[in-house]
Amino acid sequence: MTFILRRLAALIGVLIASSFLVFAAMYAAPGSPENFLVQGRTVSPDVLAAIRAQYSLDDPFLVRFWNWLINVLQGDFGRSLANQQDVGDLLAGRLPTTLMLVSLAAIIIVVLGVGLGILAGTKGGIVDKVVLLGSNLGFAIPTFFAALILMSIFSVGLGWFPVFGSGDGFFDRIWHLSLPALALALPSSAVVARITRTSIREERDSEHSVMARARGVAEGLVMRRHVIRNSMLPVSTIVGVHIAGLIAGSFVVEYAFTLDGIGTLLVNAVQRKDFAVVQAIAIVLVAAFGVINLLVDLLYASIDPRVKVQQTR
Amino acid sequence: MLDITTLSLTIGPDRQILRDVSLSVAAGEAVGLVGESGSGKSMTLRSILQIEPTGSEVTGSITLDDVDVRALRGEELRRMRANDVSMIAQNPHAVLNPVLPVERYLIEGMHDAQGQPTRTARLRAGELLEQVGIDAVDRVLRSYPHQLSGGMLQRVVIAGAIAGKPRLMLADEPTTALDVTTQAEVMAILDECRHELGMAMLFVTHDLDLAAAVCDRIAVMKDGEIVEIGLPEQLRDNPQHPYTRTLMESRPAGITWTLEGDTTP
Repeated sequence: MTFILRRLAALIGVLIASSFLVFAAMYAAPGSPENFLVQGRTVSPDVLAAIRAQYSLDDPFLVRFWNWLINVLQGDFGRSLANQQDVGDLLAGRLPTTLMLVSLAAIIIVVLGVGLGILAGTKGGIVDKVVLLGSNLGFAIPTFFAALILMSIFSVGLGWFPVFGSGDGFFDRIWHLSLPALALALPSSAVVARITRTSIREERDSEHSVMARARGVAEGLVMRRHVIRNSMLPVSTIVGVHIAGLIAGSFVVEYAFTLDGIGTLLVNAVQRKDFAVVQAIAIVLVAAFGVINLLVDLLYASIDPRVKVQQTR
Repeated sequence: MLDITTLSLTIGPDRQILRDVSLSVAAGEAVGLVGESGSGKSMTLRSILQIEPTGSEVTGSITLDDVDVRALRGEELRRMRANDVSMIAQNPHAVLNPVLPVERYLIEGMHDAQGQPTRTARLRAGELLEQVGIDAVDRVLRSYPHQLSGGMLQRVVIAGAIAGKPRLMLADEPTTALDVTTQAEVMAILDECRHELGMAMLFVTHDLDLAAAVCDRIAVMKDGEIVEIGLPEQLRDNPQHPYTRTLMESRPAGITWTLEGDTTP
């Protein structure tokens, strides 16, 4: 229990620190909100001053940060400068697509990455070589390029999947998001497969696996109970980090497949210098990253008894 | 009972670990295998169970009651490992799976390897721990390996090794990784269990005095070869090979092993 509380406290600390960085970075960037609002027209200093007053731009930096932080904590992310929409609503409308995309990609990473890694690690021979080659390939191809290739083969060439859009309804969404999720998951799957394979190889010759064999435990059981189980410890950490990273990486894929997720919203907001939206998305990304990592650590603690002891000491 | 004949083991193209090792252990007999690190003692033990490192090439023969154990495969090999020969390795913290509790280790040996029903195995686990001198049986059974000391864990390993009442015990420096105070205790427990069950033992150590205290005969090993085999007194009083003489002279003065119940039955 103290373990969870401690991790939660650390997460909150990270969120506050990173929100400060996000807030500061936006104001350090060239161009100012009022310039965006007047959209290049020349306006009188009076109007400019009125705008600055309306958005409290004349307050000291720390005061503005504090007000923003308090609002965010109350669930109020402010209003979009571009179209005056509530940023919270804007995010809520986009979130399902991104969440679904990331979830699908996460499943692909676990099934494809871990599955192929175990296969390569335990079977060896030609299976091993094919998986190694595939993982080299998967790792070398950038996400946006993978997206284009997948689109040209499966959408344009074979016509199995739609080229763009996010779909309506659960199954239609899955159908629309399969190719994007695959493109998104490909590099991570390759890394995870490699690490799983190495981890399996190491555990296979570990003393407790060898001694289990020497005690007359059947090979299949040694594999399941000693080799695969224990090799999942380092793998679970890597999988967690990669899944958390997917959220940040999803905007490339969303842009390539023109999906209406958080990623495309972010790209548009950055281009229009829509401060409130960019800040909100950055904070959501950091929070999601932190929460996923926390979940992975909890999972790790539940499968490795040694972790809890070290934490409570 | 155990006959090792001209056993040689090579790893890779030119690393010869064992060279024409011949050694026999009679039923109920304890034979010591003494030598410095890297002399091939452990490899000799591991070859008996076919757990030498992958990529090793082994020639020669090892028979256990006239069964060629090097030729055993699959289910026959598994049964031999489970029922006839058991091994105690140097570092108990490496032998037990770190993420499974002690009870699972013992039950794995009795249920999954030897085929006893789980309920019997569970009951026997507690009895075995008492037999190796553990008082807090329930606590130890529930513990994970990292929560126990090396001495305590080595007792657990000994308990697991005697669970199937094997004919032959292979002990690979069972006390080397333990601190000095527990070494004598663990050694005494191992010796006692061996006598109770009438097991033969092949005992690997670098400590000639310890070997002399627990073994009926001692083989001295150097660079993968056995250079001398004899009774402990013979090696002590009249060593034939210069290396045995060096070993005798290099041992620290003032340390002598004495075990309860003495050595030979």
